[in-house]
Order: sequence, then structure tokens, then C-alpha cells
Amino acid sequence: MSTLLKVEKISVTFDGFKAINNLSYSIEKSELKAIIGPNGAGKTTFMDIITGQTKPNEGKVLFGKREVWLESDQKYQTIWEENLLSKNESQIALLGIGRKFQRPTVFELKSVFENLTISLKKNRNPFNVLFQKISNEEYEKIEKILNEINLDIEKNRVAGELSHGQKQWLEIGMLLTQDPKLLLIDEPAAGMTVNERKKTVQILRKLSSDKSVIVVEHDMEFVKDLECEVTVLHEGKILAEGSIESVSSDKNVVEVYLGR
Amino acid sequence: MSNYISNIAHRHMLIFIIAISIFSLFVTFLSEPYGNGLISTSFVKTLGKTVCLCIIALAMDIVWGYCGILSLGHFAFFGLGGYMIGMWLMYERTSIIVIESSVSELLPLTETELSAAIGNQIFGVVGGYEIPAIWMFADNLLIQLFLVVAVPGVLAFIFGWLAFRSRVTGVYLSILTQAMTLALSLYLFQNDSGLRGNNGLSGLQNIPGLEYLGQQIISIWFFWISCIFLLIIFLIFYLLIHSKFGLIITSIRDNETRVRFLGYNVEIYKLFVFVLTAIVSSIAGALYYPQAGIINPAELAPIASIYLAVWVAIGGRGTLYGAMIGAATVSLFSSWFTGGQAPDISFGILNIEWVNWWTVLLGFGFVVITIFSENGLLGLVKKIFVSEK
Amino acid sequence: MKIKFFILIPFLLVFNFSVLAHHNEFDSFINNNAELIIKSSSKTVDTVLNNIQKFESPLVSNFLELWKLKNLYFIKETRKIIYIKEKGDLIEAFEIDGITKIGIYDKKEIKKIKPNSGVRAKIDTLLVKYQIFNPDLTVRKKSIASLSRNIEPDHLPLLRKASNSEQNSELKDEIDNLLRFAVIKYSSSEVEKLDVINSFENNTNIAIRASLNQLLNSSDILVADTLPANKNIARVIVPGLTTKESNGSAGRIGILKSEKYEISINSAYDLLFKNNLVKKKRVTKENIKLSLKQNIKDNKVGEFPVHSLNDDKTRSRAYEQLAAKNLVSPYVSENEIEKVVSQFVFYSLYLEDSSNVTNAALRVLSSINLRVQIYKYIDLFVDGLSLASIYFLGAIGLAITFGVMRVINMAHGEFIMMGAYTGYVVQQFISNHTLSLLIALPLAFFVTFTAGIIMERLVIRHLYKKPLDTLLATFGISIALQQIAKNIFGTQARPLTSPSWLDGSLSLSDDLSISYIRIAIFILSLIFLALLLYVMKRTRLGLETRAVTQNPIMAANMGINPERINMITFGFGSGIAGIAGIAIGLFSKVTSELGSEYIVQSFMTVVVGGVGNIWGTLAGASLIGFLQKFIEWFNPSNTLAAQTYMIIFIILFIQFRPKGIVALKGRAADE
Repeated sequence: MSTLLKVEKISVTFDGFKAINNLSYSIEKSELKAIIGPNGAGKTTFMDIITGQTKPNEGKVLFGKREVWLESDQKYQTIWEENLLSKNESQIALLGIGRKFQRPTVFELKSVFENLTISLKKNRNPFNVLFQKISNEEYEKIEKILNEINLDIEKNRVAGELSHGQKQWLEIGMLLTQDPKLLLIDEPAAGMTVNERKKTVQILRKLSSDKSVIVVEHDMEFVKDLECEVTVLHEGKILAEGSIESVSSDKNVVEVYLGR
Repeated sequence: MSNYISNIAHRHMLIFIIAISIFSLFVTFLSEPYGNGLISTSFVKTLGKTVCLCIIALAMDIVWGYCGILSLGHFAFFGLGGYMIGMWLMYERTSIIVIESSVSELLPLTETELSAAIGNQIFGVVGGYEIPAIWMFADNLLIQLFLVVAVPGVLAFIFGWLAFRSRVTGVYLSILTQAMTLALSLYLFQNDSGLRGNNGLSGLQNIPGLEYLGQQIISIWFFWISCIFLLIIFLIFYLLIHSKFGLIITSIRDNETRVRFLGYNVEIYKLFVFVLTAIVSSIAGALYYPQAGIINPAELAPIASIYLAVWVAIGGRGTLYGAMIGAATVSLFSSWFTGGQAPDISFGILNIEWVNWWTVLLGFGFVVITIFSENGLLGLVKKIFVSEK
Repeated sequence: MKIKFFILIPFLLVFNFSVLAHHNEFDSFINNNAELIIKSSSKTVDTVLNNIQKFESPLVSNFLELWKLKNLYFIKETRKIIYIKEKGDLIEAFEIDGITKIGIYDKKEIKKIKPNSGVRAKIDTLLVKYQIFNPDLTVRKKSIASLSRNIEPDHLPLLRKASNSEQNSELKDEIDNLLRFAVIKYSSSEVEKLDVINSFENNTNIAIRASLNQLLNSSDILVADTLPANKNIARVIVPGLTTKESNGSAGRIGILKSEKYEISINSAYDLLFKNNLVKKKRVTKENIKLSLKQNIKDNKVGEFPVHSLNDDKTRSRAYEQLAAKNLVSPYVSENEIEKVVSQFVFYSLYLEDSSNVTNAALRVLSSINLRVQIYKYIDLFVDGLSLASIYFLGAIGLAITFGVMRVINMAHGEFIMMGAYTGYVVQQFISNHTLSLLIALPLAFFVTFTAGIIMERLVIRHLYKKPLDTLLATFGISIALQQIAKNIFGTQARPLTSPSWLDGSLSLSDDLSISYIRIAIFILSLIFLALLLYVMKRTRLGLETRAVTQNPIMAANMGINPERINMITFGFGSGIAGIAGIAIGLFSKVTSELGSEYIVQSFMTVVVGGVGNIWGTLAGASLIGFLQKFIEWFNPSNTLAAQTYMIIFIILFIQFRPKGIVALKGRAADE
């Protein structure tokens, strides 16, 4: 397996408060991972750093590992295609990192279909956009994604009228139309009915068949259903890593979650 | 889906083309030179100017109503356009007058004598006779017309690039644009700005080489040109907002961060809209001031730009019609009330003179509209219409 | 004519009996010499002036004073010299003791004695001598004071003597001081002058600077083949290049300075012609034009058709052709002018011959100017400080409302205006300015506080979460309020007079004085700073306000009522605007546009300073105030340009610190 994203020893300080403290993390291609942690553990800040919204005080964030055969040295050399710290949000998004926010953020005044056309993977230069038309393949692609996120019948509805859970799906759908390599999903289950949760778990697990997915949650039950490796964050540091069973029996984790 | 949009678009565009044609023909047949003279030349000018204000209102609507940037500086671009065309009008006309009056001299003028005489005519009022460097192309209409587009375009580009790059948004951006406008108008107020200080440029209604036509004909011609530009710009903007580009700028207005995380370079989009609308504003100004006859730095004062926002807000932002309706009604009403034509209302001892109280009414009326109808008068009409249905 | 009587009064007052005993002798002396006095000329007057010194001083000095001032009369018939007092059409005549009446005369019977200027100068010198050595201290003081206004060469020895004899130490200092100026002006001794000049070191007194500058006065432009030796040359002038500096030396045209060279090459040539150093007179362009016009024949000048004469080169060629035919005076080409001018030396001499003296003056003056420069920097600093105080006062209310509610109040300027008008109205009812100010300050706060709360309740409350709409709605209120003020108070400026104890200024040196109003405004803004810091950091209200500023939702959960906090904050911010209005009204006129003049600067102060922090506003106000004065300092005549550049600076500044000088960090800032 090859690594898609590697975060090395990053730290962020806000006015003396260490939001992230010497954190290292990585994810492989087509892997599903979850991050849990109580409020203020640094989950959102961690995502902000990967997506370029916050720059860390120290550390590295690298994306897209590649092994190159060097004739001269007769060995493979590791090359990281991108250093994310030198890029801004839109550049990082274009590399194939999609982010779903904690609160569902869709374009409420626009139809579900329009929401998905905006996010279509296409030339994003304004001069090009001026004359862009939707091709038949793209139309089909959107239809397919609508199907995946269970919104095919809501296609022409205004996004603002959707239920909370449907908005979460729409947002995931918007990420999918971008053809991302890595998805960062912040609290997908928040405000969902039991049924919607089940569907969401299905969507996420299906996605991880060809994409890397990091799910951030603080709902243990939801993470359990995902059946993936779990990282517990606390005060900007990794407290424990492993399967949900091993993590939830960890003494430190129990202490943090249940209090001393 | 896209076919559906384009059908509606075509229909709307057609309606607007017909409406503008009927309106301009109507005015033409009532005008003095080409019709029965029911509409006076000065009213034709007022209408022509109002059409220009509709153009800048469209620009303001695009930048604010559609892209969410409350610019308090677009009237500065309008004024700049006026200055750019005004320079040619004033220089050319003065040069014609100087050359005509030099015919009686025994010797032909040298170039330096000619420019000194023109300089003295134009800049004598600010105590100078040298023609400043910024007037170097003033004798060339084509270059000055190019500058109508280029100067505000470049200014908007530099300002916008700086402001958007550092992610200045919301009220901060509004204040920054207001500061830019203030800086520009203060600069122009100086006598050594090279643009005649607070005297501004005058006599712009006299078009060099066309004096023989008379104001009656020139004003109706300008009215036509203004209408044509309104039509063209309306159509351009209409297509723009119904394209994917329009979808993206309205998305930027509604949720900038989301658009950015979808991989769009939001700054470039904003810059594009800012520069485009600045240029359109400038074109509107270049059409407006030859009809107004005079331009001075007070026209560029920050308050003018805020009034522009008020017009658009009153009419209804986010719809092209609303912006035009707001600009036309408020500016026409303003000139009617402040022109002293509106009948005063007398309550015995208290006599309401509209000249004095119109601004108060406008101010409070605007507050009421802002509170009760986010989408202005047009929104209010829609609300009533829809609820009745 | 009444004035004459008043001149007599001091004389009558100093008069006493011991003097009376001598007056008869004096009287007869005067009348014995009556003809010499009546028909005095500078040649003949000396005898009288020499002999008159035998008599007691008060009598003599008064007589001399009246003589000098042309207030001495004589009776035509008897040629008797008298003092007079007018009584209607008639004249009452007195002996020259000023007491003894002689009788009543008709105006036609007497005549004024009019000494010419030469005589008056001699009388004056003698008079100074009398006064300067007068036993009465007040007379001596008066005479020194009048001398200091106008020193003549003759006074130099008198002052020297007086300096030695004067007993009163205070007056002696004054005399010594005066003596130094006299020495600089009139002494022929180089050593003495140098001593005095050196004693002026580090003294920034304006009179001293003027007298040193006078030493450095230089002659008109002189010209010669070579620079003369043994002369005190002030500067060598290169026509079209060098400038004249205030100390007489030559300077070069700088890039930033807008000065002009002292003499152009053409004028230098004209000077040569005037001094008969060249033979041919320069032909100006106007001359050429005139001559060409006079020589037009058949639409041609010589071989040149008239229409071709549309540039200077052709014109001068046509003129040269005319000159060759001796029809006009010969042409001097530009090259020739330059060549001729370069063969001569242009220079200017110091009027003072000794180069030692001028060098010393230059040295001392430059060290004095350095000090003056420092005073100017201090002055600039004080200017900046007071402008910063005004901006702080204007912006702090805005900063509070913007910080807490994220609401831009475009009507803030109109609240400032309301405060100023409140002050004006109070003054219409209470004429005591101090009292009215004391009443107006709280009243203005109350008025604008109320207005603010009304506005918050009626308008702003409905527009939370829509900052841009609030901006526009408050703008609507702003234009309405402005027009209402115009309708009530008219368009002309209304005065808000400050109490007399705020007039005047604190003078620290000739170049540095600070008006009390500025000090008062500075103190007022300090008080506000302290008050606000206290309210924000030490009171429950402040705590709640800060909580709402940082996290309104959390604050609401903690039981704080954000609506109440918003309302009070808005009222409070508006109230401060009212007080700022009074402060601003005190030094500028109150008009309906008062507020709008400050509003953009206030916004910029808030934005530059950073939102939601009193220190930020202070920093913003300081930056903008000092910066504006600093830019104005480069080009004091053009405050408009200064403001323009300042705004451009601010726009650029925002690029590098988009959140202002004092920025909140972390999540609260991303709101």
C-alpha cells in the first residue's frame, strides 16, 4: 500500500494555547480511518491544517507519495508530490482533498442539481467557466452520484428545503463530483435519524473502496459501525490508536471520556 | 434543464430589447427635434442621464446583489469615466477655440504657444498654464476612450487584488472601498491634481466638431447611445448571471468558504467581477457627464457611492430589473423633489418644503425598506403578488 | 487733538516741587533760544541740545519728547514757546512747566513747531540719553523697551555706558541683551562681534535668529571676469542651477524641494548686458514675434512663407535673415548666450566684510537651527498627539459598537454632530461658558445615548446577522439626521465657544506653544480611556460585554441577556460620540456636516486598530493621527494630498494586517 497523506510533527498555538501538539498522522490509499475525541481535542483544527485554512507553527503536511526508481543509485526513492503547507484552500481542494464541514454547508438558495454542477471537476478558471456547458457525460455522472447519496428524487428541489441529514449527504455528494482522492468528513452523523445514520455508514464504506476517507466524530456508536482504525485525539495529541474495541478499553481513553 | 434556462433567458432578453426600443422610440417621437416636442430637451437629458444611472445600478447589482461585495466605491469609477472623456471634450473644444481666435493673428501659433494658450484657458482657473502630463493623450479621442476602460480597470484591479488577496470581506471591505473613494476625491480636490481641482471639468455638453448640431439633437443622440449601452450591458449581465459563472458568484455571495473548499479561487472571481463592474460603471460615467455638462470631485465623494447602494437596495438587489427600477425612480424623484417642483404640504404653521425634507423622507424610507423587505420594492411587489396568488 | 492732552499727563504726574524751583531758569533758557528752536535745522540745533543738558532731567526730557513729537507750539506774535491744551475752538496756553497758565488764544494765534527729520533724530539721541540715565527706574525701563524696538547706531555708546552704570540687575540684563544686538548691528570691532555671536550659541530666541540672519544678508547678484580676492563672498552663483539659501550660501536644486534656481541663464545674460559686459541685447521670443510681424511682405517674411513660421526654430531662422539685412537688431542664439554666460563669474557678497564674523554667525546659526528643528519635531509630535486624541474620541464609540455587535454605525458621525449642537443650544441659554460646558457634556451624552438606544430598538435589532444591511440602514438614518439638522439650524456654521480659560496656549519657546484646547482634548481622551478600561475590566457590565463580544451564544447560555447588553452598548457608544461632538465643536465650527468629516477617519481608526479592543482603537488613532501630521509635514501647504496618501497607506497597511494592529486570534476571530 502507498501512503496518500502524511502529517509530521505539527503544532499550532493560538495565543499561547496549544491546539495541536506535535501530532503525526498518515493515511493510505483507499483506507477508511476515524478520529474521535472530546470537544476541544483539536479535531477541527487538524482538518483546518490539512485543508490549508490554518497554517501550523511547525511540522510538515505531505500528500501523494510516489516511489521512483533511481537508475543511478539502483534503488527506489520516495517522492512526495505535494507539500500542502505551501498551498491555499482552493489549490488543496484541486489536488483532490474534499472536506465536509461540521455544520452542513450547501448552497441553500440553489437546487440540488445546481449544487452538484458547481462542484463538478472541471476547469475552474473564471474565463473558462464563463462559457462552460454541462456535457451529457457530466449529466450522467451527477445522476449517478445523486443515486449514491439517495437524493435522486430531490434533484430539482432547493437545497435549503432539504432535511438536515439530506443536506449532509448533498455535501458529501458535492465532494464526490470533484473526484477526490481524500475525503475529510466532519461529524457526518450529527442530527441524523437512525435510518439516515445507517445509510450514511453505507455511503462512507462504499466510498472507501476507491478513495481514502477520514471521518471525524465524537459519537462512538457511529464509529463502531464504520469498522475501521480509530485515532483518539486529546488536547492536540494522539491518545490512542487501533481498533474501536482496543481503543475503547484503553485506560487513558476511558478516563478522558468519562472523566476522572 | 439547460435548454429550459436558455428558453427563459431568451424570452427575458427579448422582452427587454422590445421594452427599451419602445421606450427610446417613444421619447424620440415626443422630443423637440424629431417629434412633437412634448418632451423638452432638458428632460431628454434627464432621461439620458437616468439611463446611465441604470447602467451603473446594473453594475452595482452584479458586484453587490450577485457577488456580495458591498462596494462603496463604484461611483468613483463612474466619475473617473466622466473625467477621462471630459478631458478629451474640454481639450479638443478649447483647442478649436484657441485656433479659431488665432486666425486673426498675423503669425501662426507655434506648438508651445498653442499648448500654452490651451493650458491657460483650461488651467488658468487653478493658476497654471502648463498642461499636466496626464493630459498627454487628451487630443486623441480613441486613446481617451481606451482610458475610460483602462484607468478604472487598472485601479479596480490593483485595489481589488490587494483587498481580496488579504481576504478583506464584509463591512471591512466596504469601509476600505469607501476609503479608496475618499482618497480619490480628496486627490482630485487639490489644485495640482492636474484636473482643475474643485472646479472640475466643464462645458462637456459641447461636443467638439458637432457644435453645429445644437443641444436638441446632441441630447437625443446621447439618449440613444445610452439606451444602446444599457441594452448591451443588460444582455451581457443577463447571460453572465445565467451562466455557470453566475452560479459561482452567487455561491460566493452565499458561502464563500464552501466555494473555496470546492477548489475555486474565490479571489480571482471577485476580482473579475469587481474589475468588470468598475469598467461598466466608468462607461456609464463617460456617457453621463457629457449630458450633465460638468464634473467635479464632489461627484466622486463617498456619499455618492452609498447613494448608489441605496438605489439598488430600494429597487431590489439580486435582480437586474430591481436595480434599474431603484436607480430610475429614486434619481427621478430626487430631482423632482429637490428641484422644487413638488408641491409643498402645509399643515397650518408647519410647512413641509420638499426641497428640505425630501432627503429626510428618503433616509427614513430607506430604513423602512431595509428592515421590511430585503429585496427592495421589487421584492415587496413580489411578496404581495405571490401571497395574493 | 485730544490726544495731545494725554501726552501731557505723564509729565504732570512726575512733576514735583523741587523741579518747580528750577523751572524758571529753564523757561528763560528756552525762550532765549526760541528762534533756534522754532527754526531748527540739524546744523544749528546742536548748541541748544548741548546747553539744554545743564537742566534737570524730567523737565528737559519732557520738553524734548514733545519737541520730537511735534507737540510744541509758539505764540506767533511774541514768539514765546508754549505747551497747549485744547478747549473747544480755543487753545489754553501753558508755560513749559506745564502748570502755569498763560491765557486763552485763538487757534490762528499760535503755531506748531515742526522739527525736520534730522533734528528729530538728534533730539531722539539726546532723549534716549536722558531716559536711559534717568533716576526714575520706570522711565529707564520704558526707554530700554522702546529702544529694543529700534536701535540706531548712536545708541551703541549710550548702551555701553548704561550697561556699566545701571544698578538694577534686572534692567541691566535687558540692557546687556540689547547691547549685544546693537554690537552685532553697528559695532566696528570684529572681536566684539565674535564674542557676542559666540554668546548666542544654543539660544533659540527669534530675535537672536533674526539678528544673526541679518549678519548674513548678502548683496544683489554681482558679476565679474574672475572671482574677486579679499572679499567676503557669500556664494558663487551658477545661472540656471544654484539656489539661494536663507543663510546666504548657495544650494543645489533638490529632487523633493520645489525651489527654483536663483537666476536663469537668460536673466544672467541680461545682467551682463546691463553691466555693459556684452554688446548685443538678447532677443526674446516675443521680440522675434513682433519683428516678424512688422516685416511681413506678401505673406512672406524674407524667404519664409508666413504659414511656415509655426515653430521657434523657423522663426529664429527668419529673424536671423532679417538681422543679416540689418532690418532688426542682431540675434543672439541660445548657444551664444550659454557660452557668454559661462565666461563670467556670478556671485554675491555678504554685506558684512569680515569673513570671521559671517563664519561664526553661520556656525552658531546652524547649531541654533538644529535646536529649532528639534522643537519642530516636538511640535509635530504634539500636533500628532492632539489629532490622535480627536480620532480616538471620534472612533472609540464606534469601536465599542462595532466590537460588541459587529455593527457598523454610519450614523455615528451624526451622533457626534448631535453632541456638538447640544453644546451650541445649551450655550444659547446659559451665557457662562464654563457652566454651559459643564452642563452640555452630560447632556450631550444623555441626548445621544437616548438617540442610540432608540435607533438600536427601532432599527438595528431587526438587522442583526446582516451587517451590510445595517451599514446601509444606518446610512439612511445618517442622511436623514443630517438634513434635519440642516433644516433646524440652517447651513451656516454655528459657534461653540470655549470658556476663556481654554483660550490661549502654553508657550514653551518661540517655536513651541500648545493651545490649551488641545491639552484639554488630550486630557479628555485620557479620561475616556481610563473610564472605558475601568468599565470594561472592572465592572459587571464590562465583563458581560466582553463575554458577548467573544462568544454571543455562549454568553447567552451563561444567563447574560445579549439584547440588553447590545442595547446598552449601543447607547453607550453613541453617548461617547455626543461628548466627542462637544470636544470637536470647541475647536471647529458646528455644522450639519461636522460628523461626516470625521466618519471615514473614525472607521479607518477602528479597522486599523483592530476590532473589539480599546487598546486597538488607541493604537489605530495614534497611527492615523501621527501619520497624517507626519505626511503633512513634508508638504504643509497641501493637507488634501496628505490625507490622500494617508488613506493609501492605510489601504496598504490592511494588506499586511487585515485584522488590525491588535488582532484577536483563534476561533473568535474567524466569526
